[in-house]
Amino acid sequence: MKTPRIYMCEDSLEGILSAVHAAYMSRYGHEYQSIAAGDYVEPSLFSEMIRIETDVDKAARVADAVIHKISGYAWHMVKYAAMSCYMDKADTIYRFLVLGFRIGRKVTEQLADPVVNRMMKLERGVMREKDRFYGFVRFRELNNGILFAKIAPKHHQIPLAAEHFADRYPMENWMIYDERRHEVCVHEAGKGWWIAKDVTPAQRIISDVSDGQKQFEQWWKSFYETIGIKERENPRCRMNMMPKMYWSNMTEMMGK
Amino acid sequence: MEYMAEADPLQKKLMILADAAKYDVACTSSGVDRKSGGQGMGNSKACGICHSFASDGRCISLLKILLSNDCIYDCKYCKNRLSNDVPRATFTPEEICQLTMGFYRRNYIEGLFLSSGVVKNPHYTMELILETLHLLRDKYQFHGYIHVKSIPGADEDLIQRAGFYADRMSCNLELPTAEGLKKLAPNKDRKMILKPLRQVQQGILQNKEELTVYCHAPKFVPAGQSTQVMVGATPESDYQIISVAEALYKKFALRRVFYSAYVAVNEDNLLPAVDTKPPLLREHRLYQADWLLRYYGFRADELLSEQHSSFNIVLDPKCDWALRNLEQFPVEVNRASYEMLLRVPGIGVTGARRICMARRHATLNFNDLKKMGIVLKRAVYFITCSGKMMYRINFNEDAITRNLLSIHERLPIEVQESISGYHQLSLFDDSQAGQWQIPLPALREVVV
Repeated sequence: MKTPRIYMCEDSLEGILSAVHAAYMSRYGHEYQSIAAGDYVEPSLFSEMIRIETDVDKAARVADAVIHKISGYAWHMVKYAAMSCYMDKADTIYRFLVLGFRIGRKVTEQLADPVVNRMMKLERGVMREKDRFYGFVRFRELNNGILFAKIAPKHHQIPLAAEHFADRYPMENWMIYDERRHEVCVHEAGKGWWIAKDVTPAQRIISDVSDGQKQFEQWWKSFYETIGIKERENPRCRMNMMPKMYWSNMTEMMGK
Repeated sequence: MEYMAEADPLQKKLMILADAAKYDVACTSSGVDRKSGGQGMGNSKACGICHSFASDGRCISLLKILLSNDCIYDCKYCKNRLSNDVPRATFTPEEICQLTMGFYRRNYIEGLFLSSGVVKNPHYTMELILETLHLLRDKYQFHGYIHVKSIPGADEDLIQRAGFYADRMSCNLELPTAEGLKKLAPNKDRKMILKPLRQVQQGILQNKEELTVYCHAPKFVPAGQSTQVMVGATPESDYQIISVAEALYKKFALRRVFYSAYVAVNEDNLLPAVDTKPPLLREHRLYQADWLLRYYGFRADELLSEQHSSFNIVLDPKCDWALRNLEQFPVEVNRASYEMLLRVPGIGVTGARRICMARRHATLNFNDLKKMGIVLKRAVYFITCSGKMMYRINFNEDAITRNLLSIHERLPIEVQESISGYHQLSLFDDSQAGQWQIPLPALREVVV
C-alpha cells in the first residue's frame, strides 16, 4: 500500500486550486491523496505532508478546466465553497472536482452523493451569510471624508462585498476592514478596488468621525427605535434574523 | 413623547413620521436589478436586502416614512385620522432627500418607502411626493430602491410620472371588502382605491411592449405593485380575505398582498376594543395561504370554502388541505409530478426542485431525501420511496392528524406567545364572522 499524501496549501481559492493541480499532476492516485488548507493542519504520523506554493497560473488552468469541462455552475460552487470557514473545504473541493472531471456537468445535480452534498452545504453557508451580510455592513464617515466599515463575518466575504459595494458607491472613497482575517478592501472614487492582506488600521484614524456622521447616527438610532411596533415586540425573532455576532459593528445595536 | 424635547427639529419630524408609517407592512426592496453604472449612488438587487431588524423582528430595508401625517381624512382605524390629537409634521422634499442620501451612503437602508397622509387634497400630496422623487433621482442621482404610494384620487398624470421614478408602487385596500371600507373610512371608497391600481397595471403592461421595441425605454414601476389589507378590524372571514387576494393577483397582477394584524389604536364602537391583542396567528395563517396561492399552485377555493371559512388554528393550511384530500396521497417521490410534490406538506419549492433534479440520476430513498435537506417531519405521512413508506403508518385521517399534531409546529415566536389568547379570540371571531358574513357574489363583483 502507498503512503497517503496530504497537500498543504494556502487558505484561498488560488491556493486550493494549486493543490488540486499538484494532486492531479502527481498521478499518485486520488484515493491516496487529500488536501488541507490553512495554516494549521492536523499532523498525521503515517502520511507524507507536502507543502504547495500558490501558483496563480496553475490555479487559472484548473479554473478554466472546471468551467469548460464541468460547468459554470460547478465553478460557482467551487468559488463559494473556497470562501467557507470550515476546515474540510479544500478536500471537499478536491473530491468534487475528481467526480466532476469524471462525469461532467451533471455532477452538480447529484445531490444525494455525499461529496456533492457537502459541497452544496458549504456553498449555501457562504451564500446565506452573504445575502444578509450585505445589509449589516455599516459605514462611518471619517473626518477626511472616507467611508470606513468594520466587519467580522463567519466566512470570508471581502471579495464578494467589494464587488457589491463598488457598484453601490462608485463615486465614494471607502474601505471595508475584516477584523477576523485582517484584510482590507480599499475603493477609490471613480476607480477600482483592491484588497490588502495582513493589515490593521490605526485606531486613532478610524475613531475620528465627522460631525455629519454623529448627526446621522443619532437620526438613524431614533428611526430604529421608532419603527418597531411595541405591541408586537419580539426579541427572539430579531435575534434569529440578525444574530448577535453582527451587532458589535452595527450602529443601531451598539451597546445592546 | 417627552424624550423628544431636546431633539433637533428634523429628528423630531423623523420620529413622528416614522412612527406614523410603522403600521405599513411592506418593506421589501425586491424585484429590480439595477447597476449604478459607475455614476451617482446606489444600485438595486432583485433579491432585496434587509439592513436591520426592528425590535418586533420585522426587517428594515427601506427608510419607511410618511411625507406628512397631517391628514384630512378621518379613517376610524388610523392613528393619524383628523379627529385624533397627535403631533403633526410634514417633511419638505429636500429633507427627505437629505435623510435618504445620508442613510443610504452609510448602508443603513436599501432605499426609500414614501407614503403620506392626505395634505390639503390628493393632488397636492401627490405633487409633493413627485417632487421628492424628482429631486432624488435627477438632482442627487440616486439609483437605489424607491417604493411609493399612489394616492387615490390624485391626478392620473401625476401617478404616471411618479411611476417612471419609482420601482414599486402600492395602494392599500385597507379592508378586504368595500362594505368594511365604507363603514370605517367614510372619505374613501373601493373604486377610488382600485383606480390607481388599475392605471399602474395598464401602465406596466404598456411599458412592457415599449421595452420589447426599445430596450432603453424608461422603465415604469419595474418591481410591480403591492397592496395591504388589515386583518381583524372588521369581521370578514379568512375565506373572503384570500379570495380577494387571489382575485387581486389574477386581475391586477399584483406582486404581493400584505396582511397586517390590526393593532387597536383608536377607541370606536365599530372597531375591536383598544386592549384587543393583534390577531397574529390569523395573520400568520393568511401569509402561509398566500404563499400557497402564489408559489404552490393552490386556489383559494381549495384551501377554504364558504362552509369551512376560517383556517385551522392548530394545523397549517397545507397540512389541513392534505388531510381533507387524503385520496391523493401517498405520492411516490420518484415519479410524482413537480406540481404534486409541491402539494405535499413539508416539501417546498426548493425541495421539490431538488427532488426532480436528483431523481434523474438515482432512485431516491428516505435517507437521500434527508441528506438533500427535505424535512420529513410532516412529509413522511404523505410520501413513498419506491412504493414504501418510511415506516408502517396507519393511513387514515385520524391517525395522521394525531401524528401531525404531535409535531410541534414552529410558529413565529410572537405568534406562539399570543396563542393562548388566540383560542378564545378565534371563537369570538368565528361567531362574529357568522353575523357579519357578506354574501360572496357581492364580493366578487367588487374585485372585478
